[in-house]
Amino acid sequence: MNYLGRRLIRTVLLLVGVSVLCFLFTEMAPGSFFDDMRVNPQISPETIAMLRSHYGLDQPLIVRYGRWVKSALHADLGYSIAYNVPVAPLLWGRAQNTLLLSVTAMLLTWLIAVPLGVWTAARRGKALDKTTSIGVSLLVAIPEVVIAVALLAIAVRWRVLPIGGMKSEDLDGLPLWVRIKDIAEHMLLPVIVLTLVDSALVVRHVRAAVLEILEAPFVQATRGFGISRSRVLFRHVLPAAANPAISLFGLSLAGLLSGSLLVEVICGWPGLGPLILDATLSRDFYMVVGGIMVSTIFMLGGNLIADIVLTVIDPRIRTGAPDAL
Amino acid sequence: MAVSAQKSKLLQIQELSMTYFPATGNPVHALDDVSLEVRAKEVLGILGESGCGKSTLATAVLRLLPANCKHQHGQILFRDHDLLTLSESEINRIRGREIALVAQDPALSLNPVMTVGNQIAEVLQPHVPLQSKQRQERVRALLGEMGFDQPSEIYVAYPHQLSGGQRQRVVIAQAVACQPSLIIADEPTSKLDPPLRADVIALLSRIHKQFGMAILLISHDPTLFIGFADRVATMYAGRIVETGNCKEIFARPLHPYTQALVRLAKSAATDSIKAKSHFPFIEGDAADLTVKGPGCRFEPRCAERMEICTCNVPPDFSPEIERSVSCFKYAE
Amino acid sequence: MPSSLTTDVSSSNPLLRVKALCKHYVRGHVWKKRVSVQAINQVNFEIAAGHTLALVGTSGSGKSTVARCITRLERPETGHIWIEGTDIARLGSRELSPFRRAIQMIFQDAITSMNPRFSAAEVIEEPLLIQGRSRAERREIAEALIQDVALSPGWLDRSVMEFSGGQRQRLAIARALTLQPRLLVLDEALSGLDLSTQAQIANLLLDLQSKRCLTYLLISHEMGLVARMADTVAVMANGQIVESGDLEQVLTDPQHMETKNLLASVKVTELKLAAGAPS
Repeated sequence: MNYLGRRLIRTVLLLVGVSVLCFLFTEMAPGSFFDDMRVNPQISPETIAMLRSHYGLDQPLIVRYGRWVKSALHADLGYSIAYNVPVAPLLWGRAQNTLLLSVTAMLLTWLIAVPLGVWTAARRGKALDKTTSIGVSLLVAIPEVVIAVALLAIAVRWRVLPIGGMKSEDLDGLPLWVRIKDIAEHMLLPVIVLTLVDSALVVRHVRAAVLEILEAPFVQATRGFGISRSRVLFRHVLPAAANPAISLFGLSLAGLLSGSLLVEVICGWPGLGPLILDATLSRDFYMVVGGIMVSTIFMLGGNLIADIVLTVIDPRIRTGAPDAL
Repeated sequence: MAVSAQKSKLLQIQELSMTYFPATGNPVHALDDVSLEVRAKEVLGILGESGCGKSTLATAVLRLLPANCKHQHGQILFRDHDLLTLSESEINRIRGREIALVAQDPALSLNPVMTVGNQIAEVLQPHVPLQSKQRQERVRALLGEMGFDQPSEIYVAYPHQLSGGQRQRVVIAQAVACQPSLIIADEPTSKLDPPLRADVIALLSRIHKQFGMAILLISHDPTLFIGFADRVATMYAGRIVETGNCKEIFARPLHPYTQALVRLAKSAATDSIKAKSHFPFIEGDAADLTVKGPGCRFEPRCAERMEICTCNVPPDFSPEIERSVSCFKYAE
Repeated sequence: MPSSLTTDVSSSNPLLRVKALCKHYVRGHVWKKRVSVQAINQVNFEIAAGHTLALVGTSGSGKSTVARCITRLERPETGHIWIEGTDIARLGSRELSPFRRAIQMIFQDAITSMNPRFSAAEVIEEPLLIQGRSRAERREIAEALIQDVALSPGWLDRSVMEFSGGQRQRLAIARALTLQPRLLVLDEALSGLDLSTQAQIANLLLDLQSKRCLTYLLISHEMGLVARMADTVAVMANGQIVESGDLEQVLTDPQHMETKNLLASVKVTELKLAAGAPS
């Protein structure tokens, strides 16, 4: 069985495992969707019982799991009790919003952080390196929540950006670029927060990897042939230092759907985050399970892509060099 | 003799002193008043044991020393320009194009994630304006000249896929790519098996004849120089202790250190089988470069030491034409 | 195999006997077929107590693999490794521990086999920690050992980084002697040192051998070293032993192509030096 085949099997097994755990934990969590109704004296227990059987929640867990798996294979993830709509389309719509946010943030992060990491490594100890170091340390130390709230407070104070939501009201009929500009304005705050937090980590890793490679004898040998510093850095050193960065890249990909949850909730962006949060709080069973499964698929897929990219890019791994990895 | 003296001096190192200041520990006086010249088209050997500063000398010429190595005094004149005063872009024009360094360990001095063909092409890129296709042609031709039967296959190979000997030839190809006037080869054979060493020297000899470049060959193995080098300089504890014609130096070494080295080399080869017999060696440990005493650096290990050797550093004496010895035995 | 290998007068039983040793490595592409590479194949030799067997050959001939199998850093697939009669080739780790003390290895590059943050004392004493000796005892042993390798006891507290290459190799020898081994495997232990240092360390090894009745497996590609240190020689090529015998026999009358090649390069340098110097 070749490498890819083995990875795919492992991925499937992981998904099954996660789904089982999802079911178990959601079931074990105290309370259910109908708790509010139970407290309400106007709703009779029979009504609640009827609602429960209507949504299939009175069946044993195994049966529910079995039915869920069967329908999941048809891309039907069940029914949301809270929203009264099928889970899958709702998830997908929200996932798209999240992707818009996180993909933009990821692109910005990597475009800024990789050159910054390389430059600060090359100019170690100089002004750029020192200021970046302090900035990075701060960003890593301060919780994401605090940064988000701080920027939110600034935005409110100076009214520069719209707060919350993805679009303004009454925009139908206006030209496309106006709508795009509007979304961009709404997006700016969460994207800044995400970029700040993620790029700090990437800068650190890239810098460390590049610093290590700069010690290697081949770098001195390359400079000895009169190749310019910047070419040595980007064309010779960076590819050799790419391994840890690619692993991080995989983590970034993996976290595309799940990493922005906190920021979305705080900034009011209508993505997957708030949806899953609400669903969890209100025990909207199939929404919770569905949301977690979609996130998991992304996570596993992202890691798989990263591993494949690593194998393709690093010739030592690709050709089975004795001291690779 | 007169003819060779008139040969143009390509590289002149004058009273060069360099000291390392490591983060912890004492300063290391790697080069102490080193004076040396390399003439056009000649092969000059530098013979010295590990820790004598010879690698520092090699990297100092191309200004590749780390930041913690400070230039104390002296000059490195290449065609009458002091390399130590050039700007970064000026020295970059010289590196690879006029002077090329064949680094010590080819396993470590090649980029592990780049094909060897591209690594040779990268040397051409800043110095020789060529289209990408032409560059590749040139690299393949170069690989052929290095003795590779299948240049196209080697072009796309990665360093870890090649043997030690092949890697060494790739590194030499890099050095030769722009046909520089001087190649500095720092211990080109020390990491190779003995049967391959002769091959590498034969290759260097061939390109020396073919391209007419000067070669500065640095090694701790005296046998590399015989039959290849024109002149040899012996180095000890950061100083040049003897210089002269290669045949002369090995036939009649004058400095006690050179004499000891030649004796060792001969006993390793010609005494052949004498099972369980002790090896001849030079008494004492290698010089500690962090300590800079007043006298001759070799004095503690010298069989012929004199009073004067402990208090004064011997200057260079010329007991014969084209011979320079830094030893009080030859004081007039 | 020549019968003259066991010529030792003190014992007719060899200290180390290796038979039919095989080891292969799997070298593969990540998604393509994995290829098995035979590193050593049907290797046989023996070393009498107090003797030195030199294992020579070019890089990739399998010498280091033999060394790693004998010290059980790797596990051979098939074959036998008898140490004083006991076959250790496939012992589990618990049964193996007394034998690990009996066989020690010294590697080529001392600095890569030592923790650079240790002091000399810590390097030498490290094997004793497992034995649970007291601090005073360990120090005493370390002082004796460091003098045995011709270094000053005052240097025991210096960091490893402060020693030169040759001195570090002496430390490696001291460390190897701590557990009083019977067999030392010297895997290119003298390569990368310059002539004088190499000579001094080789002399030290010769002295230690006669003083402590050590047995050496000397792995080297330098025939000059082999000529003075070995009693018997085995030549390896492509994972097999292609020629073996007494030192004098192999050096003066080589049979196999590989041996002739190895000796040829030495002969060339001999000629060069002889031609260069009448004295």
